[in-house]
Amino acid sequence: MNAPLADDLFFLAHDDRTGKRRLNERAAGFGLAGAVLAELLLAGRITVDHGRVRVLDPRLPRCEVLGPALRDIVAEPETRVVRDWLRYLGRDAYESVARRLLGSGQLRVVKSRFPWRPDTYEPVDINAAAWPAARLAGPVARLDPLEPGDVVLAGLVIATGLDRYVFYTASPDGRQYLERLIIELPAPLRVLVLETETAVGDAVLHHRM
Amino acid sequence: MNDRPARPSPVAQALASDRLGASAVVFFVISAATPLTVVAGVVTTGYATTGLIGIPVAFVFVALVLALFSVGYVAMARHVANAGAFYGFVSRGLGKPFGVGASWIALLSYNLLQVGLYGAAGAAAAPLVAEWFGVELAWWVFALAFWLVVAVLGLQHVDINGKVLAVLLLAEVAVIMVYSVSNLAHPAGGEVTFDTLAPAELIGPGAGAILALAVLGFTGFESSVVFSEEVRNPRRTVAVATYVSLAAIGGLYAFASWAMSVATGPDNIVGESQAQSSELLFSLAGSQLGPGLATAGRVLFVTSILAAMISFHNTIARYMFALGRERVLPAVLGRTSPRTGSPVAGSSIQSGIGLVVIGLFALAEWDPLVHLFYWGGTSGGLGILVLIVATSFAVISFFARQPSGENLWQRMIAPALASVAVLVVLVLVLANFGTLLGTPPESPLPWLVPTIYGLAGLAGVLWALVLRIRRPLVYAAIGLGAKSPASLTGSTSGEEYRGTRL
Repeated sequence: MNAPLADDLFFLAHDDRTGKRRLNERAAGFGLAGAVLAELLLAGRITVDHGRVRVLDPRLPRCEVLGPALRDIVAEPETRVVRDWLRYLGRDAYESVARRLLGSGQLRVVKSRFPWRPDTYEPVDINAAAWPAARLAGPVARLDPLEPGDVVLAGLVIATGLDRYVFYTASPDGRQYLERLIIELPAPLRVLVLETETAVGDAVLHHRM
Repeated sequence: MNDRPARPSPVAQALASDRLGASAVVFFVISAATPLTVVAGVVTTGYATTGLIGIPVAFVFVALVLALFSVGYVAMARHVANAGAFYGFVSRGLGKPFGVGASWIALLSYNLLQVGLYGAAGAAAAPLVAEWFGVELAWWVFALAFWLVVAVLGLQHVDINGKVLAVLLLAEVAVIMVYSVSNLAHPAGGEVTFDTLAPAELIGPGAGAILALAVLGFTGFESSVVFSEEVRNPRRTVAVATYVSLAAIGGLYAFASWAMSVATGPDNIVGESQAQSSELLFSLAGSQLGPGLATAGRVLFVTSILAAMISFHNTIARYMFALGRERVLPAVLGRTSPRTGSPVAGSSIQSGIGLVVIGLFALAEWDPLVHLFYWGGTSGGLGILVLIVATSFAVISFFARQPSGENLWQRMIAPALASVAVLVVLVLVLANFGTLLGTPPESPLPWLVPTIYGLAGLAGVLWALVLRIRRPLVYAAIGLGAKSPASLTGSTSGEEYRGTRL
């Protein structure tokens, strides 16, 4: 079974070798929030309908990231647009996903040398951390099939601008192939990916990034 | 349950806390207006080149006209995505071809304004460097130094720019207020005169020239609507912030330029401006308040020009990003650096343009202050005025087709009055453009500059028509801010997808 989407995106958002963050805070928040929503979508808990997130199955997953996220979505009286959930979940998505990875032993804390700087994280197994990038880039370059979860992950990679690190070897054919895969996603997933991309772009235009 | 919740939900509260209030917007707008650049740079060269004294009253008048314009502008911003750019309004109101035409005019205008500032770099920095180090350097040395700072900061996280600009803004406003009060306390001939505030100045010959200068001073006010989707109260916050900004900017400029004329005497302001140009403000301060405050002002003049360059640079980079995102311009412009969130392609292109122009003026030995700063700035201001006129009509057209729940004053009466007012201003400016530029009667510039704008607009319109034929999906999404209605209907058909960078 594949690793959770948000975990993979977390690794993609850091340099393989140095562990340094590749992504600024707001984009990381949007990207990981999009990944969390995608996980809930793929687990059948929510759907995206006319741009809004709707609960299909309110049973909380037993995951420390998905459980609280779905609980907040269920508890919210209004049906909100995707962008609202990207903003809301994006506030702690980074820390939340990091905690999940710490819990599963894939990440460890690196204590900061200075008291005013926050602690950072580094992967326990560097090869495992580099795997998501290889898993995406390989099939795209060869125009081979990708699982829907990986297509969504690739879409979020593009939405956050990480494609320059993951798909830098891709030929124009490869890029076009990837774009077609994303277009052909089921509507809820496709909308989610597009909304994440728009949210990141709007943050640039609105001077929030 | 369909009842309204008694308390806002945790999600609503969290979203609200991330949003901005009116003061944040006001701060941003005024810092984009860079007061000292206008008061020390534009006003003095304006007095000098036009020979007219009515600049202070022109600021008041233009503030009122722009406030009237803002009624419809802010109302329409609530219904337009991509509200940070005039071209979004023009696309939605007057159609996509005019929208793309407006975007090219906008890129030309903002670039003229930004690059023009390099011409003032020498005028601002040379006196300081001569005073501190005793060396005389060519203007383009300073221009290149400023250019380097802008190019580097343009690629960085916006946070650095924002905080720096805020601190500088407060200092600039403080200095201007101190100087102006002092100028009023030392009137030439012992008596405070109000000649330069006389409304009659707006009716005399050459009125268009001072109106153009006033509009130039206000460029940046239009950026308040960028925050339409980021503010706490979408209906009120942006509107309040826009009017407060206009009042603050207009009041500050009118006060400062009037006080300057009081200190020199209204009969001498033109002569003194011609003799000392941007130094005038500081030499007045020096004789009234001592060298310390004068030098402080000169230092802030340098930082103000730098801040103005950064502000316009950011605007242009984001403009290109918005157009690249919609694929009206090459998609590579729609990319950002993942680490800094900065639109690197647009930033680099704008820096390249700046470098080429500095090099051109340096090699051709043209006058940087008059030819680059003043002509560049006033020409850029003309473009902004054209955009304001186009947007004003776009507002009327938009609301005529979809009232969108706005009241009659906001969607028809105010926009109609404003359209007449700004159109009159534009006609006057074009009629007096030669006076504004200060060129001799046989010079081609007064008709050449508007013609170039016309050609830029036309090229944009033609490009839009090309897109309509060759890339209909891209054309359909113009001005919609990357949100195409088709992509959100839940259909799985690939045809409806219009592409962003994906």
